[in-house]
Amino acid sequence: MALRNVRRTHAGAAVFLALTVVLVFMLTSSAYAKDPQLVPRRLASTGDSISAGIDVEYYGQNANASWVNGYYGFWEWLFGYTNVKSHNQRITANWGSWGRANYMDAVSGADMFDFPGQTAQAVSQSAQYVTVFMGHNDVCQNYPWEIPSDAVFEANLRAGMQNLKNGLPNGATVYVLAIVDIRQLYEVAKDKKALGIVDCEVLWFTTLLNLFPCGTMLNPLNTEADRQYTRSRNIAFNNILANVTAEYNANDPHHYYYFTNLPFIYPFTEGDVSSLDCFHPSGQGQKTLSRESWNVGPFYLYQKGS
Amino acid sequence: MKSLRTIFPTISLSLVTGLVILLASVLAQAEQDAVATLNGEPIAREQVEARAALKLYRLRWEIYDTLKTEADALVDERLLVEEAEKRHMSVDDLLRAEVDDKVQLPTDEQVDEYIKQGKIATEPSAELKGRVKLYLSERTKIQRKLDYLQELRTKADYQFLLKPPEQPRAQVSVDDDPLRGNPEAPITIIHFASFSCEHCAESAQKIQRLTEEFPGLARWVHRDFINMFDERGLRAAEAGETAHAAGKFWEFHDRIYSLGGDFELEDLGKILEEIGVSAADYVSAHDDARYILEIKHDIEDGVQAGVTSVPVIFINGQYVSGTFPYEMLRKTMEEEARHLKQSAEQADGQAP
Repeated sequence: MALRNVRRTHAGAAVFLALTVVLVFMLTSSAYAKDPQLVPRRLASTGDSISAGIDVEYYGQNANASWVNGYYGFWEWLFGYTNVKSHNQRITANWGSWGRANYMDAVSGADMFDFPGQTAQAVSQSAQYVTVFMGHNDVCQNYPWEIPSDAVFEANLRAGMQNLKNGLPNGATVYVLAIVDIRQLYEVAKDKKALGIVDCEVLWFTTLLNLFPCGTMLNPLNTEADRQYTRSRNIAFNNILANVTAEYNANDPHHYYYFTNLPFIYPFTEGDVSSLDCFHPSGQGQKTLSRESWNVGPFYLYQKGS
Repeated sequence: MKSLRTIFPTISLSLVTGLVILLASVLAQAEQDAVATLNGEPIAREQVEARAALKLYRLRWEIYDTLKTEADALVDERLLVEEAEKRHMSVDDLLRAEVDDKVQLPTDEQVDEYIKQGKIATEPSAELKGRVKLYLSERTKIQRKLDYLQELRTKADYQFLLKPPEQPRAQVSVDDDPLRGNPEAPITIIHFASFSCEHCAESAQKIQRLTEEFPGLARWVHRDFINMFDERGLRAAEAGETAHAAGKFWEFHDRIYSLGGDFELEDLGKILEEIGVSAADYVSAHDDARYILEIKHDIEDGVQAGVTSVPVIFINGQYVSGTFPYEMLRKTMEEEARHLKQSAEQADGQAP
């Protein structure tokens, strides 16, 4: 009798446990499990002049040297340009060229106001992998009070993220990168001058219509407090990028969202910044950006071509 | 006598042992200075470093600069901790007491006044006022913190002891490129430039001024450096080579730089004709790519010496960007002249 009771109790417990496991599985699978992640054959970059590859090794657009869309062929080899080993190249190295598409939706001068438009374009291209490297032109304004408020920056970011959520194929990946530490540019300019490589202020002043390309950080009339204020806005925007990305990843069962703070914390040096304009990344800078962002990115397990 | 006989071999043995140890240490030092060996022959560090002088200099600067930045940050942290301990409070409380509590944030009226004074907007929106207020408030707090840290630093005795690395001299050949001034002059100024670049025109003017201010002291060599898409620069370099072949390079140089980099391709033939060089020669030189290898050679030498973008001036191998103000170039020339004078005096002193 006692034994029977014990058996009954054990059987009941087993049924209860099984039901619990099934229930938990159902709950978690419906709330958190995502569609299988797509191979990132169709790549689209959103962003600004950094992703567009401006002034890397010669004046103007160096699409070949973009950290995300860059390529390296006969002409680049012949003229000795840097092979940046972009995300585009890494994708081909890992998954082959079948079905590949490489869209540069990033545009020089773009800021977060342009993000919804760029994401709409990425959606129309049925991208399976979208990179978001945007916000440098939000931090870089002529005057500190022109930097947008957190609310405006976030609203534009959300509008673009919503486009991606609604329109990308299921299983697609969105990779959001932090805005680089603009303060570093100021330090790099000092280094370039101290080394005798180039007087950055002369380049900034004469090549960009007598307007400093990032007055909020690089205008020589700025005080140290002004520069630190701009940096604080840089950090605030990065926090928004991180939080919104995490929120989308938690709530969207059909897509994968990743964020990295690496571009902000990576110690870019004088050699990583173009000596053509003392503003954009050099070949070395683009290469570093590609390697480092890939190594902490969604497809870091796939290392061919690095 | 007997003791001398025993002492002498001991002294000899000690001397030989000493010599062997000395020789071994010299050899060991030589091995240490070698960065590689080729068929057993050492390749000296000096040889290798000379090839990558500027690159290594930039890396050494990076190390120096990183150490300085981090030392400064470390000192600030320590000063705050020490001050907080002295006042029996946490660093956060210290900053609250010394920064936040001592700052007066701007009122709405002050924000309006700032917008008015700075002519930022005639009818500012609430959003703009908010941005201006945030900027003024945060900047005030940051400035107070900076001032407070400066107060702590002033009270303390902080010295950064490392010295920045010295700039090396690059080995740059004058090749058979156009040369102006006394060929035997002790200072060689090599200008890597493109005729299509505005800053190069400006740096050419600075060199001209240098040669006038230091007559007979320097010879000036022009070398081409252009990038893949600089078609006007390439065609002008070909025109320059054509003028060089006709013995009229510097006439061409001065004439084209007087345009400040602003010219069209069809202007090149006209300029050549103006200075008495056949434009037809330039066209045929371009058609049969006569000077391409010469121009390519200049670019390769520039890259080897560390040139990435022009204008760059080498003053006896010392790299100076052509974008620097004239006064800086002048200072480098003066130092170089002083250095040459000292070397000559030393050589005279050592002469028998």
